[in-house]
Amino acid sequence: MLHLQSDKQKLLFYGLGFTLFLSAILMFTEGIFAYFVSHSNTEQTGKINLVMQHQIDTELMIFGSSVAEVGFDTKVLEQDLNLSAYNMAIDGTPISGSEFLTNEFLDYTQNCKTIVIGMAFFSLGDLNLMNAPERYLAHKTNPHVKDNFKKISPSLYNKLYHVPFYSFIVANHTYYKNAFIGAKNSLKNIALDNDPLKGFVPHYSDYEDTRESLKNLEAISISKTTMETYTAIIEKIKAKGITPVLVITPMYIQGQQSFSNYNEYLTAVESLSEQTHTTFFDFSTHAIVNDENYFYNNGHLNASGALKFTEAVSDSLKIVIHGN
Amino acid sequence: MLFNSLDFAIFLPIVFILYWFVTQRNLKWQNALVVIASYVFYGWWDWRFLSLIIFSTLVDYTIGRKLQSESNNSKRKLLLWSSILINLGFLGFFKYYNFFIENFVQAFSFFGAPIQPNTLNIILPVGISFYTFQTLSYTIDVYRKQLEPTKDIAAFAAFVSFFPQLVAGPIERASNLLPQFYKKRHFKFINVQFGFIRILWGLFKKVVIADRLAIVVNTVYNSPEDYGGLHYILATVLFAFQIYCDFSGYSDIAIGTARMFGFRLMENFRTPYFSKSIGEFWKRWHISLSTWFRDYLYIPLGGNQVGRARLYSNLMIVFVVSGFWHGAKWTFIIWGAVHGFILIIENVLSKRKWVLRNSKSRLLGFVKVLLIFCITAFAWIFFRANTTSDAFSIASELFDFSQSFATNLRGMTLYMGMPLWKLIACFALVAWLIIIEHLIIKKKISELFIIKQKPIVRWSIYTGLILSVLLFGSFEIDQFIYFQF
Repeated sequence: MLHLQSDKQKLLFYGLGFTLFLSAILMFTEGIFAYFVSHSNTEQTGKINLVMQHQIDTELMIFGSSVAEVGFDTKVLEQDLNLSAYNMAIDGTPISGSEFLTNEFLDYTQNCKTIVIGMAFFSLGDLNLMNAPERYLAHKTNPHVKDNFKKISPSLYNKLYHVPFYSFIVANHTYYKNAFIGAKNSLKNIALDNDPLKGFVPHYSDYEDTRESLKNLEAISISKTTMETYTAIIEKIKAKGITPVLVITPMYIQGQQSFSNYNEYLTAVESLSEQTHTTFFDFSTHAIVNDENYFYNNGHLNASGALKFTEAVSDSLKIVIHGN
Repeated sequence: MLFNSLDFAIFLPIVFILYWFVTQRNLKWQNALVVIASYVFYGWWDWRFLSLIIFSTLVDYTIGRKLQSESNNSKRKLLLWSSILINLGFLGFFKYYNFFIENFVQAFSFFGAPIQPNTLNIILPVGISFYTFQTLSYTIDVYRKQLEPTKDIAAFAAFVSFFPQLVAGPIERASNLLPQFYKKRHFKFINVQFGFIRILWGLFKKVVIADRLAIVVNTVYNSPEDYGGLHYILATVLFAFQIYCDFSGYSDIAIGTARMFGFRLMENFRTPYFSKSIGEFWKRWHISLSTWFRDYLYIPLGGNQVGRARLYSNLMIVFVVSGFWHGAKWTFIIWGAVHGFILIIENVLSKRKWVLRNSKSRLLGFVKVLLIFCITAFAWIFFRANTTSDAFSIASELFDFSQSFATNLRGMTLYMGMPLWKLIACFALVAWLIIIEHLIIKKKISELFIIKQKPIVRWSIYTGLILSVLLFGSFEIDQFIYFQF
């Protein structure tokens, strides 16, 4: 029987004992949640898991934010172009914010021939906040994810990687919901890649003007750092022998007009394509942008708009991919 | 620095180790460490306002010493009033200046003489209401010769700024806390265990219960025009538990932290929602403030040793001032007045035989508890509402169930933009709290009960609480409600 003489000895013994006990429980809990979340196949977490677990390797891959996610109808692309495709766009996150996804994908892909980068008016802005970090939490040990956190949100990076168990603070109910889905998938052996729409998320709502004011024109931010990030991503894609394609996604005309410098954004994307010698398709002047029936808000296409847009993109991509 | 922050999680063990393992041999060093730690704790928020605490400390220390050496009564009175005016002057300026200016302007405009307002952009120093009352109690006790003034400036500075209770109480009396700084504290493992479990329970109440309930409460109270009777009732009941868990959670953390350092702070809450009268409620809710007002305002006004009319006016004064102490808004004043008014009614009714004051019936007891809860919850409307017009509109439409969206619970929650399970979770948390509080009242559980368990059982309870905080806690709302006071 252990005999502890002083209260301080008791503190040291029991304090240390409890710290070890607690750490073991927390490590186990953190690990088990991360394991199950990485097996979730729903929403954005499911998409990210596909890449992080190397479960997707299509000939055509689309990266971008919500504008690309709701705009590129993957099935249409597959039929028109006669190849495998996946819409890996993540909502609320331009690819400068989820650089780890392209990096990870480029590390393992064998089949990919073309990567489409969907550009929206906010794609070139400064990024200093990780949107919905719980989506990437399960993969925080991945070096690309780690670099991504460090680059975009250094303060969150410091806490997440240097404060033990800080991931519990970052995790939210979406994370835990995905853990339950992942647990169910693991038990039932459900594959990650079971999305019939292949990453495309159609919206069926009618147009609603989301501008706060018609009078005050906003300015689109164009960041030099973000431009450099895009350049680096494109160079990496090219180094892997894959063809990058920049696509300016359609924005409803009134939305375009609500910005004082929409043309500057177009010029910036154009100069990015020139600097990197990348094919560039501009759909900002396509007929679709004049019809509100194709949009559910100024920046996002609805399902019928997506169909129309994808058909147009397909025609353009045919030249890049098949040369006709 | 917030108790529920990473900063505090790093700060506390560092101070604890320095306190018990480096400075323990020398009482003066230990007190000096408490002062430095407290100033760091406070300065973390805004170091500029440390000067206020230091100034208050020096003023009351000096006046306390002078009160002892002065025998002339009028000079002693002058010294007392100097302390009161200086302390309340700071409080008045930082907390009430804009309130008075705005109300004067409105009053002049009302009488047809509009004047140009001259409000200032004043930041309210965190905890000013708490430490001002704490230092005032010292000077008043010394003046009343109920307390020996201290000669130890470090002990006094530590008493004024003691970090566990500096920003939101409990408002300690000098007679309880100050002598604890004179005596050498001995390390006791049981104090650490007691403190630890108390901190965890406080954190659970704050992060898991209060902050979860706050999401529903804020949704309704921040745009009451979008909602109706059922939502108001729902949000108000949840707010009653939110504010209790928020504030008593803070007090638990304060008491637990102080205990880890060998100090015993007064209890601030004793399961107030189990009260059977408003009078009892105020003996169980924010005890350190209600006893402060009792000793330094109610009794000097004559207390209950006066005629009926005077007694009632004294009660009303105390509660209105108490409401005003909470904040420079009419909503707080009305909240205080509502409590004062109900206490007066209770006082009047208590003389009637049919009130069955001493009945042992459990059913009657339950009905009384429920009734008092409903009354206090109603009064919380005025406390929580953003404006007086919001408060009156919520209070008047409380039983208006005509809204089309309120046909069922799911419809109600969907209208609020949240899934039904979130609301169910809120009620489950409240039910859980009530069960625990009931067991505490019945003395079925206590800190000692947990401490006496075998290490593995104890550790499992600690771990369970920590995991609950980490898994179910909301880390979006971090501020404690009482910080604004």
